[in-house]
Amino acid sequence: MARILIVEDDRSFADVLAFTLRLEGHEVSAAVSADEGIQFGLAHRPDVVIADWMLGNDLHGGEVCRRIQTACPLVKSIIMTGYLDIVSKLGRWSDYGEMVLEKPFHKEEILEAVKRALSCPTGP
Amino acid sequence: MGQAASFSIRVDGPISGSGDSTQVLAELRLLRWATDCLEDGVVITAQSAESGPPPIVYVNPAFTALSGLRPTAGAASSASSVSQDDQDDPLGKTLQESHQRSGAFSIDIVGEKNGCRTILRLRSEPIRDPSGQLTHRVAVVRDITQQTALEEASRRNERLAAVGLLAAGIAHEINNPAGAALLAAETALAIMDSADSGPQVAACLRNIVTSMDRCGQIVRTLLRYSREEPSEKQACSINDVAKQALDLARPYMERRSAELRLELDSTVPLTPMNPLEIEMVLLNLIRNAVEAGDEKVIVTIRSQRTAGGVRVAVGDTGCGMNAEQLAHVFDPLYTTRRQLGGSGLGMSIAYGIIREHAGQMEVQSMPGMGTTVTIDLPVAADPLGANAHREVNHCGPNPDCRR
Repeated sequence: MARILIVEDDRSFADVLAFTLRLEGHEVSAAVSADEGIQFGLAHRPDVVIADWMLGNDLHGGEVCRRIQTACPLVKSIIMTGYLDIVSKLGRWSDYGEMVLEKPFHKEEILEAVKRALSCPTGP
Repeated sequence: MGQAASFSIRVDGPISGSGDSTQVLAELRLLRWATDCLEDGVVITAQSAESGPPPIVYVNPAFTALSGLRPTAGAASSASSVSQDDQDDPLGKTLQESHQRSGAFSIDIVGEKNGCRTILRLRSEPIRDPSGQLTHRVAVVRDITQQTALEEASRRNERLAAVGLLAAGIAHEINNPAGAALLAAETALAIMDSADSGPQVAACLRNIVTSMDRCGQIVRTLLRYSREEPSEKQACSINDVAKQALDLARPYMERRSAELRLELDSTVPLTPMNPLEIEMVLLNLIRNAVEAGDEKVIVTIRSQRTAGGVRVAVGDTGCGMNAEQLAHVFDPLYTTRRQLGGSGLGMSIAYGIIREHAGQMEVQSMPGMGTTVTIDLPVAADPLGANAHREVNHCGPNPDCRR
């Protein structure tokens, strides 16, 4: 089982996601802002960061993942978004995360995404 | 037109000047050459004492090409007139009717040419003799079919882009609660059969109820805006509405470590408003204020009684806006946070709500000095919204201007 950090400013969504992942036996922490997410990520080096793209402040979730991974290359990342257009317009979400999940997504999709992220070969 | 090229003459004054007749004639030829070159149609019709179609005394080639109408031999005495047949033609009809008017006017005439819809823009001016008597009318006609088509296409594209952006904004708003509900429902299904799962299933169900309620609220609000229906107003205290907005914003403010200063005037009169809409406006302003800076932002909410009603202001100590940003602050779809998912609709919707309340909205900002948005609401609402007003100000170096 993995140590997972959720970075999501919608507390209701974060609560459900954390609950779902904990039921699968993962150890889950949640941060509600980009700053908090980066600080926690750098301090605790989780196995996987699941970040919402839109965090309502100056940094998007992709940047949160990038900053954590710059310091901790072993950390895997998953981006969530209710607004896939933003990410696809940038055309380079792969700079930020192993994969993107479009909200709303099924429980099996996030569990599969976590499994795949964990089995991804480590980056350069 | 070619023959005019051989003229070489100085045009020193008006045609009616006292130069010799050769020079006047040469000037006239030159002017004729100029109007013959115009792409716009020019037609001069004479005011006739008799009732009936006005005689056409001059047309340029472009007018003939546009309308098919031409004078005979170019002399006023033998001019053709706008005939009865021409009256079926909208342009001929307009020329005839123009002589029943005394002033200048402009009109777009929709017609048909070779089975295609055409739009001609006609500008008609009266020509008077020195005694002020109307003698002729000159009309300048431009084919604006293509221009209109381009403008319509561009407006359609803008509308589509706006709809697309709006849809994307709605998608984000709805996908969060929809996503939470979906996960909660699936998780509840997965655990419901195991022993002692009751409280956990209940927590999931509560999340579903809250999430679906949020979805419904979002859809209802959007529908109301898209219909642009005037909302129901009731006498409310702006202080109560501001406190409700604050209750909703407080968790977000705490998360962003924003500091709140509340300066509410307890003597504010009750004001007709739709409390939910004004609350939404204030929430939007508070959110903007909180997001205005990287550092800890101080958000000040101040209410006061004014001569005609109440004023509420939301100020911040954030980064402020430059003149360019300020100029666009009310434009729909303008945002500096596009990459972060900002739709640029917040301020324009807020302005629409205040306008619908016959109120005024003013933004003062300066880079590095924060932003203050001031809203004035009248005690007696102007039902037509005729006093709606918005303003942006760059405030000067005086820090008091933030008040």
